[in-house]
Amino acid sequence: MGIIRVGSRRDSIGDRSQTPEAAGGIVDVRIGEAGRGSDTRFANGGSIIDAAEIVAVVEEDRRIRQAEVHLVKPGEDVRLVHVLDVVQPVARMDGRSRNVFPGILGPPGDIGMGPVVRIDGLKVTVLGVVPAVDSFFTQQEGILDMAGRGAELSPLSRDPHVVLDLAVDPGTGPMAAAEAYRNAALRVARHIGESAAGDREAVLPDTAPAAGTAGNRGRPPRLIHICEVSAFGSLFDTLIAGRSARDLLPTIVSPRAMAAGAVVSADYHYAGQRNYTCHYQSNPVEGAVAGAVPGGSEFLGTVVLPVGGDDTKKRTGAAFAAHLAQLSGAEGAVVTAVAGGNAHLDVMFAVRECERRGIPTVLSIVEMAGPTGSDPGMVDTVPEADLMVSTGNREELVLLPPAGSVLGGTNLLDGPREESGGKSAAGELRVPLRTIVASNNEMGAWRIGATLS
Amino acid sequence: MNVAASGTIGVVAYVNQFFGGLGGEKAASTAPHVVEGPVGSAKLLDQLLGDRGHVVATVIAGDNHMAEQPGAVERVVGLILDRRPDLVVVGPAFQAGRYGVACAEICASLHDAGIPAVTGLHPENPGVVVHRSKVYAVPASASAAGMRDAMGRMVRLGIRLAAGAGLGTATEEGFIPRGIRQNVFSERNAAERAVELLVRKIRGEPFETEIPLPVYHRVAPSNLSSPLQDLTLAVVTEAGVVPKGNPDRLESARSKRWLTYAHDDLDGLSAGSHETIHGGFDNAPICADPNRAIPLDVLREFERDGVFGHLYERYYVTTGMTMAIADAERIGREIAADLLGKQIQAALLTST
Repeated sequence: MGIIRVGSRRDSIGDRSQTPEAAGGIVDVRIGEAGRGSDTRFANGGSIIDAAEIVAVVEEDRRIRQAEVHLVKPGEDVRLVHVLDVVQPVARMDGRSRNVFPGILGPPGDIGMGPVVRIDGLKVTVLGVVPAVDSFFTQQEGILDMAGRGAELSPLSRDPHVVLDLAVDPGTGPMAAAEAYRNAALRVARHIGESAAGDREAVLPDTAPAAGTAGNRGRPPRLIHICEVSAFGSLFDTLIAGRSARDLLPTIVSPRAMAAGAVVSADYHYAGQRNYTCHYQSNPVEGAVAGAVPGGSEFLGTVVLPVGGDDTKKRTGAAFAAHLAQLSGAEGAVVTAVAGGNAHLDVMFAVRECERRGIPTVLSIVEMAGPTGSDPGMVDTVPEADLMVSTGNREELVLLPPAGSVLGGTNLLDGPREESGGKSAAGELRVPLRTIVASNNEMGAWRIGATLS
Repeated sequence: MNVAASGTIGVVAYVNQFFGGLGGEKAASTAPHVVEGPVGSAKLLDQLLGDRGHVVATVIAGDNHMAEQPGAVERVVGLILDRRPDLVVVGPAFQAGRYGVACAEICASLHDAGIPAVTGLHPENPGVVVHRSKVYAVPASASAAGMRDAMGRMVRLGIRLAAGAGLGTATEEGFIPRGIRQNVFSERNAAERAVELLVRKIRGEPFETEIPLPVYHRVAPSNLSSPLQDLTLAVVTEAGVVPKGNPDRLESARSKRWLTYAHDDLDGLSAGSHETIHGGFDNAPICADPNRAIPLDVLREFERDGVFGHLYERYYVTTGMTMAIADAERIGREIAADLLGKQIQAALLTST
């Protein structure tokens, strides 16, 4: 493994298109074009981080027995398998560069504090195998092709990836293994982020939204994002400031806190519909609010809605999310689902509760219409869900051509929900769309949707 | 492949007795038969195909024959397949009911045989709902006054079907939606589309959902045939509850089968005797106490107290997770038939 050049501590890493003041305390730094002369070089000039350095960061966790680091770029004939998480490099810019991913790497008390630098155009992606907890809590296969037909199916094939291909010590339990893989990716993301953080000492106030006046015409509407997250515990979970989302009530998180990693994926269910940590850090809904509407809109923040484990918890969570939206002065709510089946009930209830409170909604949701597309896409609906956006039929079969090389493993994962279990990862694959990383992401990260045909 | 000429495709047409030039109701019992080349309305089809293809044969059958004679559709399809067509153009049937249903059934059978087929139906023709997901039908007018327009649409769509290229959406390609959800790429991601639509909704502007609310089948429970105290009751569940170890390897998702297990020697289920392998929810609470899915403990009490007559000795089980609706309907019919065959008059359905 050669050298990975990611940038400078002195602004030579790329264009700084925004100032901290203009972006609510978030500086987006765009990585320059990936180098063409070498497989492992980025941009020109600047400080250097090499693979050995990244391996050292990974191996701070002694549970990790084997670590390989690769740089893969868009268009390369490479297939990644066993994808667990994708993280965006990030660091604080106020001299506390290491205080990101609060409750996991940084102190939990730092949520929403300090300006952060978020590196755009580079991802940290961790591959690994997590032992099954039982027949229900099993890691689902996640495939990311960097070229060809497979690449078209995922939004995450557009950026270069620092790929961590890891294995934990044999005998490491499922939860410990998942934690080791997850935290390795977070540490590397922070490490790379620090290279761009510089020595700035800027301290900015957080941007708490002011309460709005619903129905005030002539100005852009204030929108809130109600983001359902996995909360089944075990391997289908989400960490909020390091805590399992299971049985948590909804809470509201600012864009800056999200960028700094207040919400982290611990979800290894269907790869197509999972939210990866990078989606929380660079929320597609926030991006859409900023750019998609003529006249603009104001983004109030993200209400994180953990999936409820039973009917009462689903109804309580939904009502609480709507209550937070109301308190925030939201004039509209973008509700995004996670997973399918019973998890769709929570967002249906959230839509109902928002509409009852006079907050119009749109629901972004995946469909489970079967391989032929002829089945109903949801287990149930509410009449208030009169505006839905589709992130595609996750069950539609797609054909992936053979890959030139594979990282992560030689065979696909086997398990009770894996149709292609055990097949050669390098070969031609016919798999449901949900196997492709982020293809059906319900936060709306990609362009696939289902339509009536 | 029946290539009529270099670079063109071989087309077989199907028409009823009227559009085949045999007459009206008096000829409606005409049995299926083949005429070489284009006949009746198929002549317009041949003309519209131009140099892209030719009608090599026309199959004609009477409406009454198709509606009343068992096996008529199979015979028509057999005659069509004998000519090894690249494309079959069926109808158009406009708003004619018998003709429309026959056209849809022929198209569906050809779909199953892997042969491209297209028809033309008025949107209110009963044929539209016959095998809807397997039929490509362009919208046609109510009467034959719209023959040229309908045939032109059928030719355009048929040529694309015969080319084997992936079709676009119903709107893009001009056919009546088949109720199929098909993945497509949009220019913008789902988040951007969602925000734009939401702002429209807030501002009171027109908006259109991307997912119409699905219509679910609602089944009204039938009335008891006699008082509950006199009935034999069976438990039917989709909860995936099986004897410990799952001896028959019931699937945790996408199951296509059902099983029965004896419980006549038990007063209740236990974590030691049973488990659930259902993969659609956190199943630990049911594994800890399977009576939560199959309430055998309470049912035994009710049985002793005479709330119902007798509990059938076996329970019926499948796994409901991501089961195709077609499989669910078939399994439901099979279990119901089995219950009726065993003189069981009532079923307790439990779900997850």
